[in-house]
Amino acid sequence: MKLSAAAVLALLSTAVAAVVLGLLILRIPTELLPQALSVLHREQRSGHELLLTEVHDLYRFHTVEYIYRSVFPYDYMAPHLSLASILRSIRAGSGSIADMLNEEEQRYLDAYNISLQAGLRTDTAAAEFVVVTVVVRAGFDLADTVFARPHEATPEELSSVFSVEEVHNAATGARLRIARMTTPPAVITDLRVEDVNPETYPYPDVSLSPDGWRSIAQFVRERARSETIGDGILRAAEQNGHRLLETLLLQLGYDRVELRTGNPGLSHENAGFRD
Amino acid sequence: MMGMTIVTVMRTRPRNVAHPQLSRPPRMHATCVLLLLFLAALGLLACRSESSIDIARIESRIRMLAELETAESVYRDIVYFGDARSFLFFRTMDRRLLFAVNLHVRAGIDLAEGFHLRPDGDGGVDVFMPSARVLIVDTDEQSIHQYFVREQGGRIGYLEFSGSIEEVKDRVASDAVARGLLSRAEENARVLVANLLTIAGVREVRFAGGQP
Repeated sequence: MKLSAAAVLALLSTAVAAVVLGLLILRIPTELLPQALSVLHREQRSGHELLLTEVHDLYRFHTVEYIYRSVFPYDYMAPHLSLASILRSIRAGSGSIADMLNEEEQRYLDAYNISLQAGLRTDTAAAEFVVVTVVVRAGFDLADTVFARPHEATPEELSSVFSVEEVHNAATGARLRIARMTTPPAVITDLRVEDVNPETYPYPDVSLSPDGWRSIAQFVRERARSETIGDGILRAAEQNGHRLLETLLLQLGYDRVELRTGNPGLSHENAGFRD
Repeated sequence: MMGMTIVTVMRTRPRNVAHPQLSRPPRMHATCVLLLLFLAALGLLACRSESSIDIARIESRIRMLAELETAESVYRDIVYFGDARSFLFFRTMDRRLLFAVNLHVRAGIDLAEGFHLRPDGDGGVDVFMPSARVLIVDTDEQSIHQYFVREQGGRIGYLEFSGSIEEVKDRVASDAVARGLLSRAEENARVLVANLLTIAGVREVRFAGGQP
């Protein structure tokens, strides 16, 4: 039996009214009614559970900061290369992939694979990307040196770190006090991927899971480390650190300061510095 | 403002001019034709948007620092994000994400804010340096552990879950400070500076506050 539109509407209205009455009679919370009866409904929820897990003492002296910014994955996929050409090289060669590809091709392949795993679309139709900022800091890590724990150092270790020489200037007759200090080699003291603030990030959002973001961040972080070290960040850190220490020692009244790089570590510690 | 913007250019061109049977358009009232054209123009204006993804070439820069980083607190954050939409009684979107990540709160002293020594001429030194403060609150991406992700009806965006982490940074920093991170950082910084000066031949080190 065919029902007219009016009859269908009447039936529906009766059913809804019956449901509402039923809820009222059964004393089910009626504040849910608008939600149940609404045509479009959206529910968003977010939650955080924070737990303090560790507290550390640090003895890091940052003397240089280098901002490394890249567009993943396109900064690592040279335009003159393509996946097809790289696969051709692999098929034509023998041995491990690392042997068959040069550094540029390997970087292209790594970036491509990570994009694939993370779900970033790199085809020209979508061209998804993420701008990643890595803050690289360099300076001196003083944790395992006599500067952090001088009471554990032997007299020989202390004298090897700092000494004073008095020189008589025959021309002027003055006595010059020359301070000599040994600092550890400059190292990368901090390497962090800057968190994105959605309110200030000016680029389009992309579909990316936390796992995918972790892979991308790790890849870019490693590239930032090698490129900044290659660009001389450690040399700049050492120079700036020595400049600061020289200023400090001159304020103490020394006439001249000589700084050198060595190993002011404690003899009973494995004073290996991070690169 | 996030979102891809796309240029769409609508071309209207009579395709059937050469066809003899359709060479004359059907008769329509002039007012209706004008109204249709007006509505079409409004529709075009509503749909048209610009596509200008200006990916400027990124630069890198370097700057000098003089920062002592002397204490750190590490927090584990379990993050849940959920977004569900429905049309009448039908679920059209159900996105859920649960993951954990470490947040690092680091404190210390920025010597560039004012560091000065004043020897007293008798083997002692007054040290003027700024107070310790929170230098950075940052997530450790290597610590991310994703428990599950459900993406029915839409994928979760990178800015969505990163935004949820940004919301808690202030709370984490406040908690770390309340638990004594700053006093620990300042104590460690004073120890480091005092050790350096003692090694350099100073007999007495006195910390006199921020300004000489």
